[in-house]
Amino acid sequence: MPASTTLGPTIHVRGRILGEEDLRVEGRVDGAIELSETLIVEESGVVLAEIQARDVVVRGIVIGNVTATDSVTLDAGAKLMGDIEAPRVILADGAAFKGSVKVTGAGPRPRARKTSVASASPVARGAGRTTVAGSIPRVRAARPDAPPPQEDEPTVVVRRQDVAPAQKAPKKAPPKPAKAASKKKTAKKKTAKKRTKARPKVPSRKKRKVSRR
Amino acid sequence: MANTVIGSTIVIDGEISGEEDLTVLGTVKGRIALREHIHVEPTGVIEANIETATITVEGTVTGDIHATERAELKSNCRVVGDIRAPRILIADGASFKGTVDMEG
Amino acid sequence: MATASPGTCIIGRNIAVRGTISGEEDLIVEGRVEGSVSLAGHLTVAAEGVVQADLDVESVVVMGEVVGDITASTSVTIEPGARVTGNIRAPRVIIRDGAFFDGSVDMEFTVPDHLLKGRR
Repeated sequence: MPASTTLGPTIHVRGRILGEEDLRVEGRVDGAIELSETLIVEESGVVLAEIQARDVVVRGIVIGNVTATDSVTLDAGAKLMGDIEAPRVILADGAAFKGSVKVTGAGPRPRARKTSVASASPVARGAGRTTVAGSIPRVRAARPDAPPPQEDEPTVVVRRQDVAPAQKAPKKAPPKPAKAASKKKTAKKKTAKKRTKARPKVPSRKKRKVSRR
Repeated sequence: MANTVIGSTIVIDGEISGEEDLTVLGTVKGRIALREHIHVEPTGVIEANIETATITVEGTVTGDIHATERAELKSNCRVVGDIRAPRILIADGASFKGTVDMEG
Repeated sequence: MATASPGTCIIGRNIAVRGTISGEEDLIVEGRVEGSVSLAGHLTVAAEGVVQADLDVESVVVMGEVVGDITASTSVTIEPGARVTGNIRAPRVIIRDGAFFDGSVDMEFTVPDHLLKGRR
């Protein structure tokens, strides 16, 4: 017996779809989709709907807002017009997207050294647009655990460098994120449905610029 | 192409149209207009008026069925509504309440 | 990706710049930049780099942190572990799994007109 739900390429649903299993859309859905599992909009799929699901994978066209309790993935060829809210958002090369992204929950693992950045005031930003200042207040206050800064640390030096090979910038292989998040699906399953309704607002750390286009 | 399947936990409230076979294990409320075959599995519940070419019901249908070719009610199905189809089969053990019109 | 080639400027990890940076070569930021960056070239924000600036570049790869609006003529890539807050405008935007992004994305593309009709 087929376990997962598929809406074939000629199928057109107008209305609301609720479910607790994976849904694959190859046809068209107008309305709303609420799933506790994974929604896949295939290449031929067109979804004009508000979407709530645990995971959403888009390869076709989606017009509408997408809220996921785990992840939203836009694969190559995807076209999405709408806003995304999810703890994990992945945009592949070749995906097209217009809208805003809001990372809900904790988001991907925070990095330890970020404390210093968080404390850097938004005031500082924009204040010095046009001048190269002679000195910049160093952001160290919020790093109690950081080693004491050198007082003679140079503040502003920008020059063209012909970098000798030995001085080349170290190759930083960015640490691959542990895929731990994807493993806790079973634990989340039960709560997923409720969470879609009462979603905690993430306090925004900084004022968000909206109007700039 | 894969047939369209509405799984057992799925509830569709609205209208389904299309030109391919449809298997329903879940719930559909509203309206179904299809040019092919509909199979309502034992777990399937349809509260909708149905237009199709052929339909086989093993589950529950509340609503009128209009099949351009054939409607088959299997044993243990429950159908409440009027059926219009040139060929209608009602198996022993099927529950059916409504009128039958075989003039097509 | 953070390799320097001749014609690449590096803002080292103990360097902080406030103001406008403009140029026509690639730039790697390992330190801190506040203000704005206008570059006819590729910008790399290394894992330890912090950029609080509006960016107008050809392309940018972020492994560190960016707070500001990004306009790129080719592409924006946000790597795992990176944090980007701001609005992005570019023909290609890539956000990898494990990246943090808060803002909007504006890529030029079209969907069939009939799909947009009757949208609220």
